[in-house]
Amino acid sequence: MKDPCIVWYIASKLSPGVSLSRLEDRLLMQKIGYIVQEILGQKLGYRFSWYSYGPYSRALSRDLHSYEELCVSSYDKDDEMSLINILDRFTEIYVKAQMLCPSESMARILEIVASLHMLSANTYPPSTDPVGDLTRIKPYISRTCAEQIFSMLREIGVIKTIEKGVSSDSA
Amino acid sequence: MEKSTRYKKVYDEIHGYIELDELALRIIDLDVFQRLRRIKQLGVTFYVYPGAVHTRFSHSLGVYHIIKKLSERLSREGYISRDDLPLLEASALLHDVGHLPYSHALETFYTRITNQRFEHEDLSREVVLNDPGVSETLSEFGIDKHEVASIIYGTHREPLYNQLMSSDLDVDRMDYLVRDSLHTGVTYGSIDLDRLLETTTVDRDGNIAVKDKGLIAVENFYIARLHMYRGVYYHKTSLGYELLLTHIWGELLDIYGELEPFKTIEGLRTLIRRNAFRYFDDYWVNGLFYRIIEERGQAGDNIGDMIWRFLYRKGYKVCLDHVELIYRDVPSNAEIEENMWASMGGSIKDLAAIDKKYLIIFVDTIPIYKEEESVNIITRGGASVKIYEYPGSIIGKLPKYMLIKRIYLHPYIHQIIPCPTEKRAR
Repeated sequence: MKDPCIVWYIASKLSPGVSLSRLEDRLLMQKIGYIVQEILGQKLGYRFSWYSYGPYSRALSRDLHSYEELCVSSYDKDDEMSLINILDRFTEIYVKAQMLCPSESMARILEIVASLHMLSANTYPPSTDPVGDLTRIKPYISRTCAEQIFSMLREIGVIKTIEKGVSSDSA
Repeated sequence: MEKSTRYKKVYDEIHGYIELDELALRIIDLDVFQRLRRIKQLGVTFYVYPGAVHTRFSHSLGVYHIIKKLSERLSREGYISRDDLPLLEASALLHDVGHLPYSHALETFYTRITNQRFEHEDLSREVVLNDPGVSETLSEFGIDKHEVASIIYGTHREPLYNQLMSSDLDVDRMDYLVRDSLHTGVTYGSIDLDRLLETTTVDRDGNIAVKDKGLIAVENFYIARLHMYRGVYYHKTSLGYELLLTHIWGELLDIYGELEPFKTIEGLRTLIRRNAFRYFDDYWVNGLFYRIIEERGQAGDNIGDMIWRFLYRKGYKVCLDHVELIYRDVPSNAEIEENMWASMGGSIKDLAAIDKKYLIIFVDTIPIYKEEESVNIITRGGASVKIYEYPGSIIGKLPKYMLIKRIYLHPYIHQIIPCPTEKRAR
C-alpha cells in the first residue's frame, strides 16, 4: 500500500466523507500524517516542517492528491489488518484527547496533539514550554485544553521528557 | 582565535553590490560552498536557453542578500531578535549546499531508488551538521549548527524563520525567479522585488504577510511563477534532458562498481562526512561521462551512446506535449499515466517493455497556489486575510494546478515508429 493511503484510510474512518476539496480536511490529513509517522512510528518518509498552522509536509500534500484514486479503491484489501492496528492506536490517542476537550473539533484536537509533539520532539531548539509556545503561536487554542492534552501525552509516553535544555523524544 | 573583521563587496547581476561580512566570507571560503560555483542553478536548461548557466553559488549569495535586507527590517520592527540575524544569514547562505550536480535533475533518481521523497534539504542539513569546516566556522561565530540545520529543514522552533526560508513567499523564490528570468531571457518571470521586500511584514499570528499596498506585487509574483513553471522549469526539451540524465545515472550505477557510494543516500552522507562531497559537481559528472565515452565508444545502443546524446544534445524527442490548467480537483498522476498507456498502440507498448529507455511517460500536476500555503495580506484595518480571499485579488481566480502530460521517445525509435495519437500540444 502506498504511504499516503494510510492517511486516507484513517481520515475516512474517523471522518467519513473527508475530501481534498475542503481546506479543513486537507489540514486534518496533514495532522493525521504527522501523528502516524512521528507518534505511531510508521515510516511514511515525509518531512514535516513547523509552521504557525502546525506540522505540514508539502510532499504529503502532493501525494494525497496523486494517490487519492488508488488509496480510496484499496482500503479493504490486503493491508486491512495492519491498518486496523494503526487505526486502533491512533483512535486511542484521539479519544483520550477528545475526552479532555469535548467541545473542540476533531481537527483542532489533532492539531493540538501533533503540534505539542512537534514542539517537544521535532523542533530545534527543543521547546522547554511546549504549551506556552503553542498558545503563543496559536492564540485561538485554549491553554487549559493544551495543558491537559500535554499531560496526557506525557502520561502515555508519547512525549517522554520535557526538561530545560533536554530534547524529548517520541514513543 | 582572534577574528579579523574583513568586509568585502561582490557585484551581483541582480542585486548590485552585495556586502559580505566576516561570517559570510568565512562560509563562502569553505570548499563545500565553493563547490556551488560548479553546479548550474537550472541544471540542463541551458540546452534550451543558452544563457541559463548561472550557478547555485550566485543564487546563494542572492538569497543571503535578500534575507539580510528583510530580516534587518523585521528586526527593527520587533519581529526578529537582533541576536538571530547571523543565524538567518548563515542559513540563507548554506540552504543549497546539499544540491546534487545539475541541481534537481538527479533528485528524481534518488527518490525512485529509495522509494522515499528525496529533497536536497536532506543533504544540506547533513552538510551543515557533519562537514568539519562548516561546524568549525559556525561555532567560531557562536552559531549553533543545529539551529541552522533546523531552519534549512523547516523545523526551527520559531515558525517565522522556517517561513522566511521556505513558504509561498520566501527569500529563496524571491531570488531565483528574478535570476532565472534574467538568465533565460524569459522576461515574464520577473517580479517587483523591491516592492515585495518593502511591503513584506509579519501578521498578528506570526505569519509572513504583505501589506495591502503590495498586493499587485504579490499577484505578479504568483503569475510570474506560473509562467516560469510553464516556460522554463517544465520546458519540454530541458525536461527531456533531465529524464535522460536520470536514466544514464541509473545505468552507470548498475555498471560501475566504483560508483557504489553514489547508489544510496547513506552513501552520499558518507561522502559528506569524509569531506569528499566537495568534488561531486557538474564538472565531475561530465568528466565521468567523457571517460566512459572514451572507454566504450559512442556507437551502437549502449551507455556511451546515451551519454553522447546527453552531452551533444541529441536526446529524446517529444512525442506528445499536453499542458492543461485545472481549476478544481485533479485526477491522480497514476490514473492519468494509466490512461495514457491504455490509449497507446501495441508497438509502442512493446518497445517500452523491451527497455524503459525507449519511451518515457512524464506526468506531473504542479500546484499554482494552495489555500493552506498562500500568502496573507494585511488590510488597512490590520486584519490578516488569505490572498485568495482578499477582495479584488485575482489569485482566487487562478487555476489551482497545471497538469503536464508528455511522452518522450528515444531518437532511434522516433525514426521508425510514429508518435501515439493523442492530441498535440496546446
